[in-house]
Amino acid sequence: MNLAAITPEIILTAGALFLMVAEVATKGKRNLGWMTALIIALAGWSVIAQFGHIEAAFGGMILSDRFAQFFRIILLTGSLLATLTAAAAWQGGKGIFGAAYFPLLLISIVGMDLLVSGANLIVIFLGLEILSLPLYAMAAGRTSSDESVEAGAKYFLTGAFASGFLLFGIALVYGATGTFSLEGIGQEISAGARFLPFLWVGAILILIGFLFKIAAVPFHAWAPDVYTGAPTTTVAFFAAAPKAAAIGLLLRLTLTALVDVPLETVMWAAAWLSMLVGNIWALRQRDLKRLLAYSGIAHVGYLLVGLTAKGAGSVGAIGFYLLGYAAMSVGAFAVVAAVETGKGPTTLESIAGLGRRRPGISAALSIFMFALVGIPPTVGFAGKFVLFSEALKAGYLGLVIWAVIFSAVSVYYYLRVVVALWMWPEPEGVPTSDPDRGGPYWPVLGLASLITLLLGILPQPFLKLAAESLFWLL
Amino acid sequence: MGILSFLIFWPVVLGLFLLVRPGSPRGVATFAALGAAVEFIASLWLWNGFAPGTGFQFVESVDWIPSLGIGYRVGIDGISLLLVLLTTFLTVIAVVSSFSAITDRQRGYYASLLFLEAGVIGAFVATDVFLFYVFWEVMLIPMYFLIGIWGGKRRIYATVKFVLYTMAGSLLMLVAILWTYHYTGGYSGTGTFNLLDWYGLKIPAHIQVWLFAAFALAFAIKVPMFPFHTWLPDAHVEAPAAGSIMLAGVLLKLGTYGFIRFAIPIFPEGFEFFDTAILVLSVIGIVYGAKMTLIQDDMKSLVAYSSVSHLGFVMLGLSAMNLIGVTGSLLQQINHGISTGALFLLIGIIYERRHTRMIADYGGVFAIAPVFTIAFLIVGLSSIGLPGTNGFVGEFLILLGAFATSPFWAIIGTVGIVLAAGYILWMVMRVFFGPITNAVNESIRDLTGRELATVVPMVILIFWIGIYPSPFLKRVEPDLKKWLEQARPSRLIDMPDPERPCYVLIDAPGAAGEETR
Repeated sequence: MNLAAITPEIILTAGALFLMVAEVATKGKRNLGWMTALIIALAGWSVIAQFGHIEAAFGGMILSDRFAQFFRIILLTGSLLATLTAAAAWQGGKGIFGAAYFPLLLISIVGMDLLVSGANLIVIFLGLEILSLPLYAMAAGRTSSDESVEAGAKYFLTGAFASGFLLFGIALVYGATGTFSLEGIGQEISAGARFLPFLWVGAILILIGFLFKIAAVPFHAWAPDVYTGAPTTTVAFFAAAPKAAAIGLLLRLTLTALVDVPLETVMWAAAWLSMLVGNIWALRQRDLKRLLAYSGIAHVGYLLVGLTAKGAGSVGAIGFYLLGYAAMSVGAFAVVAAVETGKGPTTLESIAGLGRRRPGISAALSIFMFALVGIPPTVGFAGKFVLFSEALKAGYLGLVIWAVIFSAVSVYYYLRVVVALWMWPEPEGVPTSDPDRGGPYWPVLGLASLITLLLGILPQPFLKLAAESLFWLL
Repeated sequence: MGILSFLIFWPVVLGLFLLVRPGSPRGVATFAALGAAVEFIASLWLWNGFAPGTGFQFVESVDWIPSLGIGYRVGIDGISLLLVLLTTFLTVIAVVSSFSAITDRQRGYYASLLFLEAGVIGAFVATDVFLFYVFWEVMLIPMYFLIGIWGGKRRIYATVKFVLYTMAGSLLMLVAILWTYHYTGGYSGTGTFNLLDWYGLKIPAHIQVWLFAAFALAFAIKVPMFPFHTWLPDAHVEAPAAGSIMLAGVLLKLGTYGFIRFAIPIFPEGFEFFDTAILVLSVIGIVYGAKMTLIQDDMKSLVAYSSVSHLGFVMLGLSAMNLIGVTGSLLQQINHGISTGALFLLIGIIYERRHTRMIADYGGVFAIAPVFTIAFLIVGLSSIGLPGTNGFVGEFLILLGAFATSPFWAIIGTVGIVLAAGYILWMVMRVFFGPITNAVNESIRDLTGRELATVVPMVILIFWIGIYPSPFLKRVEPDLKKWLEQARPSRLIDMPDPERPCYVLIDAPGAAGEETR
């Protein structure tokens, strides 16, 4: 048995077990967040140390190739940022969640890791469940709040629904090809599968299962409610990392296993709709978390543009974009979490004129907003640039024009946040409860801003890494 | 690091330093002014070292994102030289003019002005299309803050409108840029964003039409050409005085510069398809802008609409596509930057004293502030294009060029000059002459020393270009001649250029003799 293939998973699982013990030992009174971050960083280090070595384990069911390693880096980065947010929130005493929060978080990362390194449909299904179950609990983490519990329940129900789709799809694909192995499925299809309708329907059902997970339209309806109700730190976590894992899996699935299955049409339609619905509905939102939820749907649309294009370059572009998106979206949620320390709502009104009183966190939020719009020199621009470039190269001119039109629409609602921060007058009368100056949030805000700007100004090394890691998947 | 990189990054460093530097607000302003002055002096190096007609100079080229064919490539030729100098010059004026006007959040204000300068210079000197696009977008952010934070009552509406208009246009340009990039790479290998390579492309004409349209939309919004001009009056009226100076002085020039540097020479056949439309829209802009000024009761919106009219002249000269017209067009860009910049500066000064820009609130100011009035009159006359001022040289060359290619539209365009005389002089009459109708105005102070220091250099430039333009024309003509060979549409290919260079037409015989010797 080759344990090298699952080193990060081992580290994370051991860390989770250790944290559970620590939790009990400290009676749940100590902030274990910083330690969790350390464990994630350790797992990330183990990935980097192994980078480039291809390892397979468990009879080829788990494959730690460059593709898996690159995606592990992405989702560990996203998770690290989210963990730093949660640690800061704990420090600030707001959004107190159940004591098991941090071990759950680590277990969920194990699921994501399995998702991107799984080379077998069963492992993939297991990965998805390991990823999802802790998330349901984390969404309902603030047990004192009805909304949080409601969010957890909604997330659980839709998640279960999605798993049903996925499982049924796996069964059909298995029926058509007689194997769970991705490589085997690819070979069967290339050799000419006999039960073509089964295969196609199965493939589409699997795709839909994951479209649910990444909240692509028309499978997005759960996202805004869950984003609003769940604790902000949880949302920061599942806004980026699970998306990266699911999209990584979809890439591997469509490029190695479900070759010649025309899934592009479904993705193409989901991309069109996600950009349309996400951006248009975001225009009406006044609550930051809801706004970011719809913005997340829109960004899934941009990512689906890359998935649709399905070329050598677009794989690298998607990886690069996901890394950038993890930084800017988790960063934005971290600011929202910081704003929540003011005990007020997280509406645009509550941050009116905040730039004057809290210039630090306001500047950070502005950077993330400009990045989400896609204005240089942020990674949001560089990412969209490579993504749209590859889609255009693949011939999807209409889709790219659609994407830039809605990018222009998105300017309005992202900039309105910046307008509220710096240009709205400060509320008069009632002394507003100001958020903290940011204190414990600085690690996450600093790191996220750094990634956002660094990848935007000097994208070359990361683009190269992404291209090299993902190119040979084809 | 070359001089151009210094010009781009010095304001950035300075701005970042201002943001974090402790110290009094007054110190911040002085510091920014000194930094901007250093920038201006450094840019004079370009003026001295420039060798006309030798293509791109002061070139720097470093790989930036080689896997996408993107490089940090900068350089200037005669077309961008004057625009860069105009930018560094106007930034000093803008910074100094804000000393007393801006009393809130000075750090962010001066940092924004400096970031804006960096973005604009970067866009003027970039010879890599990706780099150009980055600067083109980057400069939106400081301008957005300048209008949105330090602007007037409807500032948020104005700034959001400004950003939305600009973004909407430029994102379609991005698609066209990407398309052309893949065309250079043959849709398989790595293409290039090097502008010089793009000049040599032979894109099929029917595709050029679309690509040109996408570029032209972005630039036409920025110019702004009729009917894409509606953001401009709002932005101008709400922006702080220095913001207006920068907006009118240099930001609008990026639109016309974009046509000259990118849209027309890369897609000459696309331009040929649209040039009549551009010509007609320019003339409509000239007349419409001029007519709209007549009904404005706010001085700033009056000048804003006059900008629409003046930029119409610039585009008219461009669409003539002969050496005289294009040279005039380029010179008129500089002239507009100086004259309109100076008008906004003076309006800002009087607004600081009376906190109103309504023409009706004034009257008889001449008796109270004679120096101010004289300065305003000179600047106003240069805006009209009185002989002896810079405006005359530019508009004269433009109309001369336009007559050669399309006399009918040129004649209609001259209506704009007549109207300009009307609206400027009418405004001067209502504000400065007549009886003092409003007693509050008697307390208006005349120009202070600091204000004179900002106004006088502009007046000097007005007369310099008006009386002796050849140092400017000499530097731009050779490059424009080469540019025309590249870009001239085929239907005008037989159009003879004058034997002698333009500046001989304008200069006194003695100066011409000196040149020919």
